[in-house]
Amino acid sequence: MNLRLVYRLAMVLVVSQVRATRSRVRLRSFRRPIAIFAVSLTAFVLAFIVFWKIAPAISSVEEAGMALEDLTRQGLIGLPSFVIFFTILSGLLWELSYSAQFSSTDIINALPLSASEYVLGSSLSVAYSYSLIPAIGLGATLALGLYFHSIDLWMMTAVFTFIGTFLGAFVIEIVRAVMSRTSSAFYRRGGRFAIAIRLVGAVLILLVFQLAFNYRVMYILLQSVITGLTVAWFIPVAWPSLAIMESYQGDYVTAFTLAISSLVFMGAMFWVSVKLRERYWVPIPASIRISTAPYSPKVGFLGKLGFSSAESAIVKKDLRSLTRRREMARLLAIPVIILVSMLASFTSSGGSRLEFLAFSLVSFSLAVAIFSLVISMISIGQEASAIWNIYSSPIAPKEIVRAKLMLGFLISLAVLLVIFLAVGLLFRPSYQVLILFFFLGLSLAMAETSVGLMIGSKFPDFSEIPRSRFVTFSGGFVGTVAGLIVGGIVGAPAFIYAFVRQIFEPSEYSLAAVTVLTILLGVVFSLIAYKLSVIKISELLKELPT
Amino acid sequence: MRVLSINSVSKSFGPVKAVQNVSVEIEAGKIQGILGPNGSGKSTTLKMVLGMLKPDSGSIKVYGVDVQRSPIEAKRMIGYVPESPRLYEFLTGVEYLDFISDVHRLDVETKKSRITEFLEAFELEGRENEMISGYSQGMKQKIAIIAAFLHRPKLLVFDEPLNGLDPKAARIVKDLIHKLARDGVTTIFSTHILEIAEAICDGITIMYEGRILAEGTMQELRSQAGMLGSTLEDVFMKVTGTNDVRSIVEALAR
Repeated sequence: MNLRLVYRLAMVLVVSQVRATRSRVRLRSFRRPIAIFAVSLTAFVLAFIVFWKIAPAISSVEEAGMALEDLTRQGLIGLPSFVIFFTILSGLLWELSYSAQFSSTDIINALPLSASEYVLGSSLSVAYSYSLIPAIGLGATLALGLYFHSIDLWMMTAVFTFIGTFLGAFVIEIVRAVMSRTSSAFYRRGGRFAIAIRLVGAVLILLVFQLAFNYRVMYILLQSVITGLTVAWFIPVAWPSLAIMESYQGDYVTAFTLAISSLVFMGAMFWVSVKLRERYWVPIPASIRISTAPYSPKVGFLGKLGFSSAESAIVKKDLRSLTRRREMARLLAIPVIILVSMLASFTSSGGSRLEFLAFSLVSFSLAVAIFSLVISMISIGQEASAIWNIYSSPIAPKEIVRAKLMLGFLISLAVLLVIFLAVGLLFRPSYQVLILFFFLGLSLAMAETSVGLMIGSKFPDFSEIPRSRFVTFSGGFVGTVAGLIVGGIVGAPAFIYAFVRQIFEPSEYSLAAVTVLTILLGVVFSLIAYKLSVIKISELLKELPT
Repeated sequence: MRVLSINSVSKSFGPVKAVQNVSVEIEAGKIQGILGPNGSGKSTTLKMVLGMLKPDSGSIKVYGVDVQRSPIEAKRMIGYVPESPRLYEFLTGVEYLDFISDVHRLDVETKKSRITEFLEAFELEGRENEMISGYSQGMKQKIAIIAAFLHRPKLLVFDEPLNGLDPKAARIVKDLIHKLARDGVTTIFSTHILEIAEAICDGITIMYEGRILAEGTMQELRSQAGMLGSTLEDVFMKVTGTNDVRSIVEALAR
């Protein structure tokens, strides 16, 4: 293995990401890989300073001091497991976004580069790209570790965090190869049914990998481990944290065994990812026949509803984009992952049926809101280099906005109905709860879809790079904040109602009034965001991005 | 009748002056070729004609319609093939053409008959239900060309349209452009293949470093260069000052 080549490949992958996501940044240093290192280093130092200053202040209060010491211990033990979870989750969301078409025609396939060199280079770039969170965690725990005289424990944490980052990156490489295998297997069969099965398969793969490395589940398991060694012994991703804990408890032989086991597990993940890449990477895109029926156009459903032919055409195209592009499966997996992982965590932590119902309704509102936001936020950038088709066509900005909103809303509505039916059948809540949360979901879907489109048209990312995100980094950040604020405001009446009902009589707060207020807030935010989206799209269409 | 008026158009990308004070006028039914080495501003000019790029100065009118002020009206009259057409790879060929037809508001019967005719003519029948991602470069080019013809545009803007086409398809495109020209359809296209420009163009514009160096019919260009009886390649090399390639070849062969 040529390590110099591995390093060069990793830097090329990092550069492609940095330049695409920071193309608007004028300072040239911010468009170089060193910028990521500088940002992570700064975050490490800042986290250290903040916690170094906070620790004495908190410790001056006796109970708070003890709690902080306990938190420090948990943080030092838990950081490697959290980093594994974070790297995998981020990877599932962002690393699988490279279109199958371009990855297969990539020059990388024509270069004399072995699978192990590629996997290591790609993993190194993933580890480097996501170094910010480990850096913050290590900076904070270093300050606390020094304060509570646990520097030896911190050093172990640092080593295992490093290992955890790579372990997560190798898992991403495994998912990449498995997704490629799934795609090509179903692509060879062709037909609409195979495309649908491929989509479901991709979502399931993402869900399984996410759950297998779910931090919340791991955390609950670790808590049970701290009071007595149990199941966590059988979960390899918990070994780095267990090694630190055993070392803390003075059982150095067990700690050493677990440390070696962690390294062996990381090596095994690397080996598996190399073997999968060697076996399942598809260098040539397969020829996929969708149907054999002769071409027979019809006036579609949207056309009958009064949408223009251009609007219907965009909706149809985007729906096909969502269901046929491998890199889109991760987006469709979002609501499933959020719901399943939240419910799994809650189930494993115990709780009454009523609490479970409330928790699941909150989860489903969150799932609908995030899904609507993300789907519409990427709807402009996902056009990628094919965006010229829109620029060269006689389509008005309003038509684009209406079409993109319609698709985002329709898909969110479908997700909402599925979740709503599932919750209704599983828990059989009262009709008041059902009505309130259905309209809450509907209002959230409307508002978040509109806000997402507004952000997506202001911050589109058309680049086709190994980690294209369809929305710029700053757009993603602004969109998340805007989505949270809007979601919070739209959801406030319903959540306040649910809370107040626990304390006061139901009659004091009318369900009808809350429902109407929720819908009203959803409509108001949707209208504002719609108007702003039209303005942004008009500005965007003035000139093809170069 | 004047179909296309490009008036003193300039465009810069940062410090790079891509197009400088370019003016071109084309009458109805004419075929105008734009020639020039790589980076001479041909594609930028064509993108400005379509309203995809905004000129820093100057104006462009298609049938009297200002492209910047009324882009949608202008685009309805234009059929465009870009230099390297990036199509929606997740659509099948026929789905892509259906999308383009809908965007141009063709009715169901019209789009069905036109799409079927073109697919047959370009020998894509039997492959139309496959996803574009599996198409060869030439097949993608054929789809892009069909898409440009579908709505019967009055002005064709083609950027290297014959790239990757097989001889039969290239012949169909050339003959179709000629046939449409007789019906009053105007074509402006850029190409590197000088023989094609010589064979099918009524007028030729030679661009170099963002400027127009020479313009006219083949005969006018020959006389401007003082090279009567020469080929377009000789005229082009002389006008653009790139005729001395012998030393470069010798240096490379060493």
